[in-house]
Amino acid sequence: MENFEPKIIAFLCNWCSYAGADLAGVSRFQYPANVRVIRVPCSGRVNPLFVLKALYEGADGVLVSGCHPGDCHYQSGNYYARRRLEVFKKLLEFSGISPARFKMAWISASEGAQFAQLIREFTEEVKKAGPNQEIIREKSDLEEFLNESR
Amino acid sequence: MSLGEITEELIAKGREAFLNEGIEVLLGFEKSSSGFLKPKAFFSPDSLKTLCWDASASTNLAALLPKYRGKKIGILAPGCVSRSLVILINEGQIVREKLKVIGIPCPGVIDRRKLGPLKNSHFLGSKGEKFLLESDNQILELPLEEYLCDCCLSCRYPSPVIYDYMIQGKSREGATDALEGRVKKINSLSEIERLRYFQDQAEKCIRCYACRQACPMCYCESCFVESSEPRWLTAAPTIPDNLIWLLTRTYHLAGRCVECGACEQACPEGVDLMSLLAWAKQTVFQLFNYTPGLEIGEKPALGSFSYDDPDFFWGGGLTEEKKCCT
Amino acid sequence: MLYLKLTRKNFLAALGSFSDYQVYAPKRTEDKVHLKEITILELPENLQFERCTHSAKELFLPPEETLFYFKRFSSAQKPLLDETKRLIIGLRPCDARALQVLDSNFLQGGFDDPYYRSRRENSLVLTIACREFEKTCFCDALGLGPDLLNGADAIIYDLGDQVGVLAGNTVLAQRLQAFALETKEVENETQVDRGAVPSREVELLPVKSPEEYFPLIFQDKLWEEIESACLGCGACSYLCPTCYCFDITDVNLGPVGKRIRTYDSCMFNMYTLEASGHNPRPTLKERWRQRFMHKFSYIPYLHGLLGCTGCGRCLEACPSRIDIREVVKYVATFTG
Repeated sequence: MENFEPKIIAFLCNWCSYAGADLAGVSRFQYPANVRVIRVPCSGRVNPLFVLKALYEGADGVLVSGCHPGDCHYQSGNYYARRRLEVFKKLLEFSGISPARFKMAWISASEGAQFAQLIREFTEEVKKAGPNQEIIREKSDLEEFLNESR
Repeated sequence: MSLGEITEELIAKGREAFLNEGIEVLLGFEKSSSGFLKPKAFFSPDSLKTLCWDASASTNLAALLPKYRGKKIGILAPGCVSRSLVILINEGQIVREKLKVIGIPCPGVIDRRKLGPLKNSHFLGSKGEKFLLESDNQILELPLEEYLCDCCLSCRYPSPVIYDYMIQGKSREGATDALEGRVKKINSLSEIERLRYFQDQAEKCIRCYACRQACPMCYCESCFVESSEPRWLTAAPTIPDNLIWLLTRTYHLAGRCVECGACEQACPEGVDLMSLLAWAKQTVFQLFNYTPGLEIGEKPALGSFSYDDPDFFWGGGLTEEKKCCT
Repeated sequence: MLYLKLTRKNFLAALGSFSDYQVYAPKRTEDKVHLKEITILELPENLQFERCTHSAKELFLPPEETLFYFKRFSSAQKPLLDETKRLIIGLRPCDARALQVLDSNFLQGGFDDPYYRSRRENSLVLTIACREFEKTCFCDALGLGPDLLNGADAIIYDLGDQVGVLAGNTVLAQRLQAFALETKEVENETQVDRGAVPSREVELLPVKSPEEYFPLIFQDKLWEEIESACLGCGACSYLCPTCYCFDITDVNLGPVGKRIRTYDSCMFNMYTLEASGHNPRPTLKERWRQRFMHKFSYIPYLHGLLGCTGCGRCLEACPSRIDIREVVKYVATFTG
């Protein structure tokens, strides 16, 4: 697919991963601009429905990142996330949705370089998987109407 | 185990539960107009004369519990239903002391889908390894094993895990890999074939929510599909919306589904629900060594964690390299 | 109305003259039968079709229908009407009867539904008289029959190597006349050759007048009995050919959106849930009672025809095997 620029939604936990992403920016580490960040208090707050909703609305890839196990600001939120998102990721794969579309990561507040690396890798993987056609809503009629009425 | 004996014992135990244990309602079955059993709530010992149980009892009675919240309830429970009760107790939905469980050794339940055109015949009863149907003025004697639900064929817990009374008899022996086989078959498909398969199921779905209503674990007073803010899926039965419904319901049942098959029996469109649910059970077992509904007091699998859970996250495992900032 | 006898070949040729119509007929895919678009050539000469799993409702009140598009700070687009000309062949008399009930809701009583009207006016419905009963249907027990026109544009009777067509629609009748062997003007079905009409020993379920039901049966413990079995799933309502309740929601994309209509069921808890939190039908007892009364009391009272066609889809689909025939019988013979 030529010139395909995937849309990636990243749910980053406020205390570690979001700070790590911020550090990557401040340190001027280069990473692709395909990612849109949504800040959540903790990776344990991430409802797997967020992932499905993001894909349904047109995201090509979804990332969830939190504090390393043992370092959660709320003690155990990321332990719950680890269990739940693991089962959820496998469910997506079983149902035929490309496994490249959903990624989970641990990024700490000091890991700016790792965050950049993560985004570089993930963007590449999603590019290879191509645009999301597995679970996306049919909106061509609305897009047509939007263009007409401009 | 002949049908007549278990009925007598059932009624006797039911009467005991009313008279000695003070239950206010007994959840059981009675014959419907087609001879297949239908669920019924009995409110007095005298009403019990129509109480019965056989291999056509496909409803999971635990799904009816929310209607009688607060009352002291008697309930007929083969293995799967008893496990549903354990999970409901563990999730704080019912109190053990308010339940009187009449345990039933279960030989399995007939799958209406497997009956095909015979599903509208008149059901005459099951006895031992056979059951009788009347169709076009003929009486057919059929082997139970060929028409049992895949859930029953694979069932490893046919006898109830909790009970206050136990009816005499023998449960089904010898679990097959009927459900595992379904999962294996799907796993052997390529990614695109698997997606097509589930999209076909999503196409059949009309979003009537019969599966949800038949399931004892779907007791939420407000289901996620009814949430308008945030809205997770539209009301339209399109393929992507239906996929969200099927996948999310499966996910919400991971580690909670006892594989009773009531959902698949209830579905009027023939959607393959059990493959997803069997996959979920397998996965939770493989990852966390957990089987739902076996012990009162245990926490649900996806509602708890262990420090040693398998970790497949990117960046997992702190190495010296990753610890220092670059 | 006109009754015509045609050879099968001529009848199919006559249908072929409707070249501006899309032809729909019941077609099986795996274990379901749906109304699908086909060509005249694909129509079987024996004109035997299976009964639809979902009935004619799927074409006249589809599970998802876009009503109109709108843009923020602007007016809505005109209603999107479906003006496709459809010739629907192969439905049953009970399906035609169901359309009469849908008509009573969407076309009468002061509220005219333009979407339904457009589909209805642009369709020709040709039913096939039943050759045998399903195990679960009971139109005859309700005093309706498997050989009635029921407001369809025509009903087709199997007369061996010929077909008998009773045409209520004059335009259709005129077009068929050119191909017919014989024709005659008649007033009703009893005056014509209907071929082998199936009959069976059936107990007529006398249906009380709507006014009698209400005071007698409303408080009876019957509804508690049913409540103990009913799961509150929507299976009966979604499959029922006369159930027409719908939900309206909006689907947006930034500043534009569309309003869609989808199925709803009175069995759902949220159906009558009010914004205050009060629900006038809090349990399945009230909801099941309402569904029954709607079909057997309120619709007859308001529109003069029974709201149930006796197709039996509900009792076949019900996971708790609730049999509406038993309820009708109980209520019909209830003396208080």
